[in-house]
Amino acid sequence: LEKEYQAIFSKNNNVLQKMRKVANFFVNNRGIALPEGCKFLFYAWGFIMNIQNALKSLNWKYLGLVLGLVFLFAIINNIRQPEERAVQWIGSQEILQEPEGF
Amino acid sequence: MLASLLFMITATVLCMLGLMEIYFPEWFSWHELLMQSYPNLYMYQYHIGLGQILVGGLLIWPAIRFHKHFALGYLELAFRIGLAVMFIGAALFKIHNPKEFALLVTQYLFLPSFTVNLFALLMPAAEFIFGILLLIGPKTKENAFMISAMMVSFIIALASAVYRDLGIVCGCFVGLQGAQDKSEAVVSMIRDIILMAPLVFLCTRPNRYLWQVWKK
Repeated sequence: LEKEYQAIFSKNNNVLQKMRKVANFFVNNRGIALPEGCKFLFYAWGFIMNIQNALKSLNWKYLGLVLGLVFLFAIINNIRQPEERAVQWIGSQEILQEPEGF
Repeated sequence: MLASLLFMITATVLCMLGLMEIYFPEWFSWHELLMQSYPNLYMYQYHIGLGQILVGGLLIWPAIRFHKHFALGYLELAFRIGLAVMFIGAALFKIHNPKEFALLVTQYLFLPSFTVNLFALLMPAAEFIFGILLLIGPKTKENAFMISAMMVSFIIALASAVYRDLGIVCGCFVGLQGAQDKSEAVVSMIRDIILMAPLVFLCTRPNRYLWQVWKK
């Protein structure tokens, strides 16, 4: 049992793999009948943890820098447009009527 | 490795043919024949195109079995080039004419009215810059994550439009004149959901330049 426990929680497994192995440990190896929904919850929790880990691993400074570049690009693009194609920064456009037979 | 390469090239050709079948059915000789013989065969090109993409997708599995490292590198290369070209191409008309894109966004009746113009200016810029960065930049994971976030927002907006039966054109690649019928929003939504698969794959890949995809 100890070996199995160590195999599940070894550093080689990511969170999703760990949760799958825990669920399989209960469902298959020990003959404990977890309801299907319960097994699904294990997987779902593992998936959410995986997403959380992936978000932590992102370089947010880089994303902030690129988003700054996006703002700059959008400002310059709107300034260089002729008046008939440029838009106000705050506001909307008119709602069109659906053509007949559409 | 040669077998893996052959499978991947076949898969790429099939997927490209499938995409062309969906978006440019008039290029194929059977288009007119089918439409004349079976006028009720509505939107047949989606069935043929999706079938080709499905077969192409299935060929990836043996390619990975033959040479996993090579096949995954090839997939990364193909997805990065394909998605980047698609996003840059989609952004061009929106950057060229922000007013027309703002008009398209307004028809979704999704965003608060004071944010529509701001969104219409920022979204194409983000599509363009992240498209270029996905192609040439080293931060694959971050760029794929941002493009995935944009794709999720498109899916939510399209789902809301389909649910409310708004009958709008997607506005992804062409302007207002692109609207043919109401089912276009559904097709665009399905396309965006399918495109989430390569984006999730790219989110799991290590950060590196395009020419380093096979580097160990």
